Amino acid sequence: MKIDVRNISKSFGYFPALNQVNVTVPSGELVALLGPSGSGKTTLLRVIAGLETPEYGNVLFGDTDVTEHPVRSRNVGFVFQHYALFQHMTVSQNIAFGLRVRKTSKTAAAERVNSLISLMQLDGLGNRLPSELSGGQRQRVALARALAPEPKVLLLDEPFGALDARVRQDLRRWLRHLHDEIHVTTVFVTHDQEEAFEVADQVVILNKGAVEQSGSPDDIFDHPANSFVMDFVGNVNVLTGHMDGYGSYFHNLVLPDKSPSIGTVPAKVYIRRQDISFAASKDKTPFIEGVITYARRVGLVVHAVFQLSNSTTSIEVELPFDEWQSLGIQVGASVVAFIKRAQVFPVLEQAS
Amino acid sequence: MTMEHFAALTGAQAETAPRKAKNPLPGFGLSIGYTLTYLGILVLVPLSTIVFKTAAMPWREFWATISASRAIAAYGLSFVGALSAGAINCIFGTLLAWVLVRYRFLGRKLLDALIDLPFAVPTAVAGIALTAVWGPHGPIGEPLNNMGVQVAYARLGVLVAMVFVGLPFVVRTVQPVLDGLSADVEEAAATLGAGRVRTFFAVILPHMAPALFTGFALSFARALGEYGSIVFISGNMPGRTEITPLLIMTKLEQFDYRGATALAVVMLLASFAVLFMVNSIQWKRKSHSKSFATVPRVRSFLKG
Repeated sequence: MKIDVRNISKSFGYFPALNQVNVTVPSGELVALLGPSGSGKTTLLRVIAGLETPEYGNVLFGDTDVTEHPVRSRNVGFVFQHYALFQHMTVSQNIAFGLRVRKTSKTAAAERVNSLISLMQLDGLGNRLPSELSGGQRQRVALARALAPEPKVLLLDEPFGALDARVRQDLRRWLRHLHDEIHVTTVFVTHDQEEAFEVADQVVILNKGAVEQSGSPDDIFDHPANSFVMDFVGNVNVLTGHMDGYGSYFHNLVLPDKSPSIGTVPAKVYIRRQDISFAASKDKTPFIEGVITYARRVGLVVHAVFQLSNSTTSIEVELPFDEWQSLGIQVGASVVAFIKRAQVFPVLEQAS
Repeated sequence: MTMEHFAALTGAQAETAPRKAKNPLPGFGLSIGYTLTYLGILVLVPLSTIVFKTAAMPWREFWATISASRAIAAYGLSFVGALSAGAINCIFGTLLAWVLVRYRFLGRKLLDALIDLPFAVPTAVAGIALTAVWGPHGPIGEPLNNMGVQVAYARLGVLVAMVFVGLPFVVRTVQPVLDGLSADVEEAAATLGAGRVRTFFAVILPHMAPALFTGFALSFARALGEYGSIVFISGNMPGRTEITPLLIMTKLEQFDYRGATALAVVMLLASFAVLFMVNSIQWKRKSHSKSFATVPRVRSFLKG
């Protein structure tokens, strides 16, 4: 079931949580709403579910306008960050709740519950209470409960936010796997860009109640629409340069990006930590010279800080440990750095 | 580590006694000692004198006292009244707690403070006030009287006084539990297709049940022991509106100490039985469902 969010606006008192938001979720896809806290992503999810009433705009499921439909008749599956399981009910009773409400026959309900229990890898836990489960198990019960009545759309609000890193990683892959199996249109909210990029078919980036960019993960990563997206996605160095109608300039480098405006304007140059490499000799161009002021190995990568010569500007660099070792660079050494990729945005835009 | 190493290690460890776990809280021995002494002096000793006093009574005299028709009518009024008052307070106390927890309105704090008044007001004052309001010439009593419903100086009056004194218990036990129930549990029920009534009975009520049982027990116990306010409103007609505590008082005034203690023993055993029953229902529930984990309240717009 395709979800169409059209011109939704919603405010809490004087705080505008959503401002004319348009989002389309194609049928059967898995879409992530990504943004910092306060960006309106959870509010948008709750508007789709019917848990919040938008002041303006419409929500469509397929061709049906559901804006005025109450939550309980929208047939959505909603998974809450803190699970929101019914504490006095067992795992099976929790999963069966939506089926009981819909007066599904007992045998059909039991069958559905059993199939969900095995799908969610909760075998043998059917008679446990939520308080007797681990966080990851609770979240799987919440997911099973949401899926039991075969919802038209599945909505997840920071589903892995309350779990520890390892469990989160597992559940993330597992959710992707699950979605490939059942193909229900899914929207999930996260503030973790890695999570969004790993799981989703499409990512919608929200900031201050508005959509900054939406597209496939690759598209967003390779072609960020603006400086906010660039800054938010990935660990970037934000440097000052300038640009004119011919190119953009940073330090002694010339980068291919051009300003659409005439004349010289200040610009922000965004360079990802992974898009810089070092060399001992100056055999490649363009290069910049400087000194390594900090380096620390973190597992398979090295985090280093590179300070430009004749400047106070520092650039953070992340490179594979193998590469670092083969270069034989030490802290304090003068090196040559190559910039593999950079994004430049004129500062005018930054004012918004 | 090879097997030999492992064996050597456990062998060395086996020679010394394993360390005992230390509890950071004060010792069990000390705390239970204080508890028992305290309970003994304050509760058990006074109550047991009632039993001892009665034990001196010949069995036939005891039986004749406790099974007199006037006494049986008094037990009936006391227990039926207190149980009904407990039940009524469960319904309206829950409603009050709900309103106080869920809604923000002008005068909420005042209403909240008002709930405790039945605790604080001297019972005689409450009795006089209730009689004035519900009496045949009172602002509520008169219209009711015209409709043929007599409240003051009738059994209904006893119930009114019992409901009055027991009200705070249910509100104060249910309030914190409702406060701790996060909104997302109700929202979850709604997304699963449940209507409001269903959400209340299937999700909220079971969550409140333990607190409701406790509130009921407290309210019942308070109503059963209430004396001061009831004697004003009931009219104290033997066999009709006379409660057991009043009958005991009457016997004391007639210097029939043994008769008074005999009735007291019946009250004591019966109320103990009721409270024990309520508690055992609670224990059953607890062993079935472990303590409820409290879920932090989530404000969606703050989270983004």
